[in-house]
Amino acid sequence: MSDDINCKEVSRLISDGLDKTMVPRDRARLRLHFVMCQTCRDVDAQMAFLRRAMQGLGKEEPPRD
Amino acid sequence: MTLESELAALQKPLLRFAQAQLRNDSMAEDVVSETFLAILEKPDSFEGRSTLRTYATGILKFKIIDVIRKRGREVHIEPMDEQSMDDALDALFQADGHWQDAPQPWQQPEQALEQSQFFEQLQACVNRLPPKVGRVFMMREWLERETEDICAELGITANNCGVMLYRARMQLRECLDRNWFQVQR
Repeated sequence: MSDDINCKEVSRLISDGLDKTMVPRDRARLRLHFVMCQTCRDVDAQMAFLRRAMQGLGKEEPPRD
Repeated sequence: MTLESELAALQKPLLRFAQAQLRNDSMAEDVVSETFLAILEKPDSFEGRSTLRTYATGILKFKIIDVIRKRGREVHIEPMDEQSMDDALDALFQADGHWQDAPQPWQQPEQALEQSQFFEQLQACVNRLPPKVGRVFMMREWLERETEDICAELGITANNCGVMLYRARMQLRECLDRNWFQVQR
């Protein structure tokens, strides 16, 4: 992969970043892409939101007294 | 307090929790019983690791996932197969890797987290994931397990695990976009 990654590759990196620490090089390439691409910034925010939503799933009846 | 009486105190909250996930009273009772049985069978494995409530909730979540997955296979919903999921993912992008239809930002997503209908939709989207993919995703995001643990337990490679989580997230993003956020727009 060159430094110039496309949106599809970015979407995969966003997901990988939720599971493991990204190597600095990948993180930098991802952020460079975000500088130039509003859509992928939005998708990044949506992926992060999905995680928060999953943590809230079933919490309407949290097992606390 | 004996273990029995501590579990008795947990029965109601755990049952409410299971009912909220499964929306089926007898299945909820079953998973709670199975959870208690698992704890009573090996009371030593609980000792001092966390509160009994946290420990029991962790086991209960596993039991619930199993039921949801099984139910998905049997009758309840028609989960996508992995091939059609791949096709759906490919269709999102042009050959050069640009978005086919650029995703739009979501309006006030935080407000969705206040609404029980949103969580029902989220659950419906999760239920449509192919069984294996859904299981890996639930273990990661709902049980909040580390990816290495999940791979090891299911006997799949780290790369395969990453691919499944990626597909699940993309699919769920689409599903929420189409069935929740576009409707709100």
